[in-house]
Amino acid sequence: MQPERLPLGKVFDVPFLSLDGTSVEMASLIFLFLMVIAISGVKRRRQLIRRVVQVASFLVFFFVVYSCLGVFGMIRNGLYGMTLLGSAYSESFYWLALPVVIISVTLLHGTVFCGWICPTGAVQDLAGWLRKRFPRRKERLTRGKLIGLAIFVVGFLTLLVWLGIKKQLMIEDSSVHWAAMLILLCYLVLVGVIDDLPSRKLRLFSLAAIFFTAVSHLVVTSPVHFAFTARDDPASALTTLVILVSAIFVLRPWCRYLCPWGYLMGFLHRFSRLRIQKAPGQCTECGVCNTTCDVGAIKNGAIRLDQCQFCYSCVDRCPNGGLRVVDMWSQPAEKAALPAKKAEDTA
Amino acid sequence: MNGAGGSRRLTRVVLGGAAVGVLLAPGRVQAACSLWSQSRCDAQNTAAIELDASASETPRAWSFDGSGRVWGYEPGMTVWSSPALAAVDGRALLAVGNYDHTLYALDAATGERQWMFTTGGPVYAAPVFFRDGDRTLLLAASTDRLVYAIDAANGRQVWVHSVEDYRPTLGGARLAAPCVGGTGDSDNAAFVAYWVWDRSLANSLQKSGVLALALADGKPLWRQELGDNDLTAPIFVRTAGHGQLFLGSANGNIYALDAATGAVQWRKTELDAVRSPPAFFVSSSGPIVVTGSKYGTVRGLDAATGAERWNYKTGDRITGSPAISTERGSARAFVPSYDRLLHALDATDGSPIWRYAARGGLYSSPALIASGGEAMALVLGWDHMLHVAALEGGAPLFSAFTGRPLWNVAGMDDSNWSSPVAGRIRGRWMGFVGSYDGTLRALPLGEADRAAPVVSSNRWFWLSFPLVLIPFLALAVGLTARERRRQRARITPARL
Repeated sequence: MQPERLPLGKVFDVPFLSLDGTSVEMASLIFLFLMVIAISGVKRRRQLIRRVVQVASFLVFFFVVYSCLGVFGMIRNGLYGMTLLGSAYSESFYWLALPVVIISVTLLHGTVFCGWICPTGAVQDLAGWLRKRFPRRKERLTRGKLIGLAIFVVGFLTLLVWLGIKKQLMIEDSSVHWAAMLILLCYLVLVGVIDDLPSRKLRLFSLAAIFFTAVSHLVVTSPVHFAFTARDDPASALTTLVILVSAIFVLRPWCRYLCPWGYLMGFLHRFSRLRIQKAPGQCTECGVCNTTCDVGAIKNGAIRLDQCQFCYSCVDRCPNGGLRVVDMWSQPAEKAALPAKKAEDTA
Repeated sequence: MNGAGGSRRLTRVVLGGAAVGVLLAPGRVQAACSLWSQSRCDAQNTAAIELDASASETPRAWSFDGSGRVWGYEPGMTVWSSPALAAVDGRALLAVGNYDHTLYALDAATGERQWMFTTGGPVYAAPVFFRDGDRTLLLAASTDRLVYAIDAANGRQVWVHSVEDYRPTLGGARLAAPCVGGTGDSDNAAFVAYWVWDRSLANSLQKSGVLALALADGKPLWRQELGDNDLTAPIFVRTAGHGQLFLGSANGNIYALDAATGAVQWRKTELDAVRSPPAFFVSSSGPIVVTGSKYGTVRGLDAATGAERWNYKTGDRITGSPAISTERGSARAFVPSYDRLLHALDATDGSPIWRYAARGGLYSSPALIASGGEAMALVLGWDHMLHVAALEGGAPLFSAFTGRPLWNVAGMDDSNWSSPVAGRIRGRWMGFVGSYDGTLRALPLGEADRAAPVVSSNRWFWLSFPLVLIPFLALAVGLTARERRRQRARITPARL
């Protein structure tokens, strides 16, 4: 005898039948975010815990999450998921799940995705850790090191041209455009042709470019994409290598200058529940936070919300407890005490 | 694509065979493919046909974009099915299924669409043709569980039959390419291998089998259930008036069925999945079925008993069908493997003849052009190239870029992606490739035509390079200059 309608349990199960692993993927991500939310409140050895979480999230993205495929893929797939709304809900859910979860958590708990979870950020932090482990004697780059970096830039561009001529690189490999841009930006910032802060606005244009490629049905694979897929993706590996090398010279350069998702996170951070803020009367303007922040989002306690990645480094290292996390939604007084956004941004 | 690696094991050297006269003896073996009535045209899986298409234009290179409706990726799905070719009303017609639920009929010479037929699900199985009186009909199996007979001249449905009755909880179906044969001396039946499943708790079901349908009206003749997993397309052979079907299954079985009753004559169990149909030929010592499996082993089996005659181990999995050429005095089997090699073997004893090396695992079944000019084998690889090698010696003739998979998540061995086919139209051999980048391409294969531009997105890579780099760097310089001007404007009054 044939049933006339689906059993109630199948109403929920059937949409997932064709998307094996969706529930596992979602459960892993939500667990990851819940873990970050719970752990980020622990003050003792918080930075060590953050490193452990970064490694764990890298493994989760590596083995479990297939709807992301890197930052470009997350934007592209998110847009694709939106186009499926109204026609294929289960697929739409699949592609939209990750961006929606990240945006929701950002609104609720600040930009913890950038500081704690993002695999590209973890790769850059690794290079930053190497840089801090072997500090330069002089803060300024010597002419010799600049020449060395210039040779790397020229060598990389030559390699791109050679691979392109050999038809090893296709339009899908255009993440190397971003790599070339990143290494050139880092070089130009270091030699002083362009400045760090104004160049950060390029993230908006990077977002626009990826948006354009997505709506044009062009697939551009992301940095670190090679780690998330079973396919060989040498261009993505090359881009990741460039990010790694660049991060030795400029901390978190991808996040500073080119990350399209970072721009979105920074924008949402202005409306998020939690943010880091200077405690009135406790800041001595000692400057420790200036040097602590990897993305240069802070100057004497004034925080650029569009740059802050909520890693808690400044909070943990402030010798006077002059920085704290405040809840903007439940404490209107705190909001009123805030300096104007413009003042923060220009700090 | 990252290959599964796998050590390359060398061959087992076996005895040579010489059965040429017997092979080509009339009445014992099917002649070169004259009508595309099986998934790869004939039981040898040659996938090449000479068409009497005098009304066609001179064929040229063309492409047909089928990527317009981009659905989400699901392992097992393909973009294009393998195509089939026939001459209909004097014109060369190419029929091919697409994941957009549509069966397309295109002019094989120009790529112009003749008609399209929408089914209820993606069409992954290759269509086949058969003759019904003076008209040519097309047989297509879709994942909507239906087998359609369509008039090839105008795309109108003649009959349709469902391999499994509808129920609301049926999860889906995979129907392999049908083949046309007969339960007696004449071709009167279509054989369809199916796999249907229902994962609801109340009706939990997975079943597979072969269904024989009458060509005249689609009425079922017999049904043989064969377990519960994906089946390859069957091949039909008729020796001494007696029809046999051979097919493989994803749980590693190779079946021989009696075409008259569907009874299982023998079953050979492989060590891993058999993903594509076997090939058949008649050697001096009797008929042989050549199979390949994901275990990487090619076997020559006695078609009458299933006993192993020879075997040959490739270095990695095999997902494409072996193809057999019986031209030029010898029977040779061409076997693509994920070890990146196209292996040419003596089909009578399995001894290796030559190997063609590609840069990626070879996933498709080869198409063999053994007559009418240069003899060549066409095969597709995970290096996104169509490889064309000479049948004699395996020397590379040329290769063409066929685009990357449409989906980021597509992985090798996920699907039986489309295999190339070849057709001779007005004296020119053309290769037809339904690529996983969404485009169906027709490429001239003649030596003089190979200078035709290769479709490649490399130029877009170069075009986008300055388009991205120059504006971004200009923006960075502009933004810095603006910021510096602002700072100077702020500082100047203080100094004054």
